Amino acid sequence: MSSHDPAACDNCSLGKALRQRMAANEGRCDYLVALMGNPNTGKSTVFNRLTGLRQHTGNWPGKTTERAEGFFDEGGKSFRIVDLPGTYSLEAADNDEQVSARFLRSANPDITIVVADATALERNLLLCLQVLSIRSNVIVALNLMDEARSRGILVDAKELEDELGVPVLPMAARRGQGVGELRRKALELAAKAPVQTQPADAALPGSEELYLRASRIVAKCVRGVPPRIGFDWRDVLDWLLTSRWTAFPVMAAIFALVIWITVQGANAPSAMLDSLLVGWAHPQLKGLADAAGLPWWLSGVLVDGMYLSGAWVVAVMLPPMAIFFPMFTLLEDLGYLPRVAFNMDGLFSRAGAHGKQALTMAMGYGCNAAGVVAARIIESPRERLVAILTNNFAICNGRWPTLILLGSLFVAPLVPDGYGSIAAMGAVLFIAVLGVVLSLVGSWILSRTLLKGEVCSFHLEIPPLRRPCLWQVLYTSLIDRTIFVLWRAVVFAFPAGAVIWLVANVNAGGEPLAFWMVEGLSPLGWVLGLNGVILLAYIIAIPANEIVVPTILMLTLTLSGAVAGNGAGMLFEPGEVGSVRAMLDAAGWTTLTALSMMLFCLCHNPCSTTIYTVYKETKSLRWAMWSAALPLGFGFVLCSAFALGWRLLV
Amino acid sequence: MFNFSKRPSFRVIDERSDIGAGRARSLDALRPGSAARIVELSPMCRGFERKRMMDLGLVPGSIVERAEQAPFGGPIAFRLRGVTMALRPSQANLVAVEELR
Repeated sequence: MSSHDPAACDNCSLGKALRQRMAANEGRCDYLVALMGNPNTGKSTVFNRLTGLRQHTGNWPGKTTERAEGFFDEGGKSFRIVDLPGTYSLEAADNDEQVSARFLRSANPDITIVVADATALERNLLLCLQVLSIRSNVIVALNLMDEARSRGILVDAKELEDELGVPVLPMAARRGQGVGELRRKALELAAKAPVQTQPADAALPGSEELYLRASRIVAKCVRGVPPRIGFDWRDVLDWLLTSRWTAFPVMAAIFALVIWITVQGANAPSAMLDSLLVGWAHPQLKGLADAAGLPWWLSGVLVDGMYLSGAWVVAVMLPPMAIFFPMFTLLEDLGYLPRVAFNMDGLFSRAGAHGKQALTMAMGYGCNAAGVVAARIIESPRERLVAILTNNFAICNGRWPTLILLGSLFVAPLVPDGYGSIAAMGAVLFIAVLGVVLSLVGSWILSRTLLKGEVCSFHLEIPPLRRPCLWQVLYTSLIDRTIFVLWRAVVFAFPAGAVIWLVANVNAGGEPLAFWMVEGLSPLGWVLGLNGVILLAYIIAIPANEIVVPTILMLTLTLSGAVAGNGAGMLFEPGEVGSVRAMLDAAGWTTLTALSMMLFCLCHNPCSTTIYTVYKETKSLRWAMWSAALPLGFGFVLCSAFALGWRLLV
Repeated sequence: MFNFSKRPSFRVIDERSDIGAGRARSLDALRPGSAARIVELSPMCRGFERKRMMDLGLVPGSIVERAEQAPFGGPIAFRLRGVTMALRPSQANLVAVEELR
């Protein structure tokens, strides 16, 4: 998921450029605006609407884990706006809350916008009242008015304005309503009155007292109770998604459906892309390179190495991602993810972990680096580390295509015709569920060895289910996620492709380097049920899991001599998945090889980006090493046991 | 901050304690669908956790409505001040409530 998370992108050029631009603009703004609010009040949506950015906002608390900054202009004045992490209160010892409180007191913003959720005004008023007690120039953005109305809650903004003594603007930021008014009000307020601050050490009134005031205010300003006429689809759905007997079957069914649609839908477009990019364009490029008179080694590195691995990444990854991400974003928008955490916490708490680990895992199903960053939503350091170290057991989108490919190539043919895709899906789902089990086992082991301790504070806010905005889902998942992740993969694929071509074509002692490396790795590969080529591919492809399969295919091809030397001719019959199978069979692959690789795909070290992210998040080389060693250890044990059992029994 | 010294003595609540004619109990012992008014947080609930629970609206006088409990002894969901939130049973056990009829 959220691979565009600004923190996860520290090491990519896009994020860097954005930050540099922001830093350059910093000096040139007239007013500083702080944006605050409880988690999941649509604060980031307000931020996006104000600044015109298109950062993704999820329907679950704690989505924004780091402060984001943006700019907007109104009436010839420029405003710098800081989106602070969602907080329930200005006082508590939580990291995010300290950030917000400190910013408010030290950065001295000209305007403080508090975003409040109209559907849960009473709870949101606590923060409003706290902010009001230490700042002037506050605007309350009463967001989610549309949702409140649809649930029969009517908030009288004028009355609330009188009660609080500051401007209150009704908004529906998801539909863009009230954004213009908010800008105008900000300008008006900033131009009119200088801020008055309370002394920095002024004590806040206690929450008991504030809640008393909040309930009095709500009694005056909120009319109408949620109508309970007939049944609401949300209530029925909510019951299905979370009740004791239906929660797990429904959860399994949803994930199975998502994977099945991905497997089924990705086949045809993958084959088309393959025949276009590999079957047609590769020989064309090769011809062009020859016509331009490039030396064989240069055209080898460029066309057979870099281009081919890039093309493979696109063909293998794009279709599944373009199907998987929209469906996943749809579930996120609906509000399903916190419910998964709710359902799973019983199990996670027994493993000594936090239920929100289920959310970081859900993130990890998109991108493990993003999952590691997302672990910031877990307040206590011990459980946070557990979540970080076990995140790799959530299969990231770079590994789904590998599993799906292996499932459809090797598992599907094992069953009678017509049941193939079901068997393939079953195998992939089994690996995914095994990932959840391993993450529980891993957490359990960690809680008893490296990270001893008991679970401390836990609370989980469950947002109401929302009808997802279809267009927004498509936009976010395709542009933000699919293209972004694909771009990263392609960027990593180019140098890896060059390395692959070089190890396959630079000779030592009469054989290519890759030959010797594969020879050296083969014994270990045999023990694990794999082969030397697979292990070498996992080493070369450490920048990104996406390129493991392309690397294997290219190594297999080059070692068998198909594109070696002067890079003669065609790779294999274009557009037919069967040809890949034939090629792997020729290279000595068996069902055991494929099944072991599916296991190893789940349990191996995370990509270098993720390891680096762990290092940055924990600020410890030791934990970064552990994050790689833990899954790798699991992989060695599981794969060798599986291979041994298979060889003895089958 | 919450001033501990000014509070009257706390009672440690468990399911067996019969305060207020059998109507007082801990939050985790409520039946699904029933509503209750919060009486106090147990003194066992301290520091950050206490602060956090009070920030979330678990303060004396708040009305809570118990909803579903997650499978495998998981968290219990409550409706509180217009928000649904889940607490682990061990935490809910620290909240003394008075059941509403």
